[in-house]
Amino acid sequence: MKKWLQRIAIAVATLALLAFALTPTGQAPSRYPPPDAIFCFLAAIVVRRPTLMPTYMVVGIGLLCDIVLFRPIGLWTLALLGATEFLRGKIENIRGLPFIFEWMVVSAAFLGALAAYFAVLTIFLTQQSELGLFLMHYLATVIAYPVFVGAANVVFRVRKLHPSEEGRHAESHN
Amino acid sequence: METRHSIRDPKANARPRPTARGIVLALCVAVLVLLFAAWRFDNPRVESLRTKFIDAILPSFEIGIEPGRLAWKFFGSIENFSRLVERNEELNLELTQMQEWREIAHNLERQNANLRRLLGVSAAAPHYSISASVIADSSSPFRQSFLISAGRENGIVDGWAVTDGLGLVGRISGVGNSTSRVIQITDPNSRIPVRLDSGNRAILLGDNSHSPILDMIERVDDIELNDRVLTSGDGKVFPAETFVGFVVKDAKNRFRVRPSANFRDLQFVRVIRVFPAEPIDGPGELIVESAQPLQPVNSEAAAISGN
Repeated sequence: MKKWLQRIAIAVATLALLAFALTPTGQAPSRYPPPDAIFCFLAAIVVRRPTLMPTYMVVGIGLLCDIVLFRPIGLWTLALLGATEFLRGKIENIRGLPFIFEWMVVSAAFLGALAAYFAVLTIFLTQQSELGLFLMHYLATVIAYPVFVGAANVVFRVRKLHPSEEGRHAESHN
Repeated sequence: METRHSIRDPKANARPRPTARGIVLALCVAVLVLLFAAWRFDNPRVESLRTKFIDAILPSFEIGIEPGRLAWKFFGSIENFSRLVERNEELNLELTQMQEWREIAHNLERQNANLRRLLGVSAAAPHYSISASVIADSSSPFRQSFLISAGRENGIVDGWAVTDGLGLVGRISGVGNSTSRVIQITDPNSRIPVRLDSGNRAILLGDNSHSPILDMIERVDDIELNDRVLTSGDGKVFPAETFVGFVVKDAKNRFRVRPSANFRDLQFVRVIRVFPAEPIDGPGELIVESAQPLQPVNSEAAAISGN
């Protein structure tokens, strides 16, 4: 029951992030693209409490963002799914290690997702974007990640599991 | 991994046959791939579904957007507050300049009207505009678009031009019942046929930067910096003579257009309605056809000059 409440809280927080992204604040294209807040948030949760961010929730959130932000439908969701599944597999490896390792793994996951996304877009000839913009977006997201981790810690009390408490949360999650 | 404490270890005996989790994952991937394929190969249908979906859910998102807007405004007002005196002086200065300009504009208007009367020119076909407010920013780092609060119910039609009163902002792409989407001229997918003061024609190409590129320029030698750029109406749906901006040159010596629309503070826009000119596809009935082998007037030319 508590898990469901937490899941709903996380879903609402993600929607709030999306609403914030949708807020019109002038339409000038920025030279410094903003970080992918939703990716940061999802990754921070998945690394800490994978059971609170089940696969179908990742898919739902991804699809909603794809639709509302006028992206090719389903493609970024696939990338997001790949990245979060990759992170799920790496949870054991980074448990108990300093934050810097988690940061590296999440950065690698985001790079993979972004690279795959643009590779597919280029193959299907739907868009070509400047490499500089791509890199700036990547860097912005990597730099922003610790902020989202802090927020997740403070707001949702989701700290990384200690090895001794894994049994309690290890039940299958979908 | 083998030294787990829990007895029901989901991974321990999961290797040989697929788990429920694996099946769900595979299903999700299959659905997503199908969705992407559908989007790629039947784009118009999926895009219209998307528009309908956004039309339905956007009102509920406004609950979230409103606090966001307030927060942005709050930060903005703090900044303004700190330089209130300075700003006041700036505005006073601007005001005196504007009063000067207003006089000039009045004089020119009068003069223009007189000259028009002398020439007996009838003004170009009327295009009225529909005002709408910007309700959501659907841009991502690689796309530049937004949603406005007018749709099919307000008479908006795909392809119409959108300005902010100062200059061209973009064009309508995707119309829902009560919302529609505007692709900005800065979006990498935006292509607008334009005409320069010198009579040069070109295509305006967005590239995610603030100043779109001038591409396929007819006569590059004739182009001059600070030339005014207007839409040419070559696309037929797009109205001609809408002001876009001025020609500038970038560091790589490419010609670009600095838009005069104020993208930084875009709250309201005007959608320009275009009434297609009646095509003239034959000689009038007064003329006996056999008597005079008249060339039919080119309907395309008529449509352009009529707008």
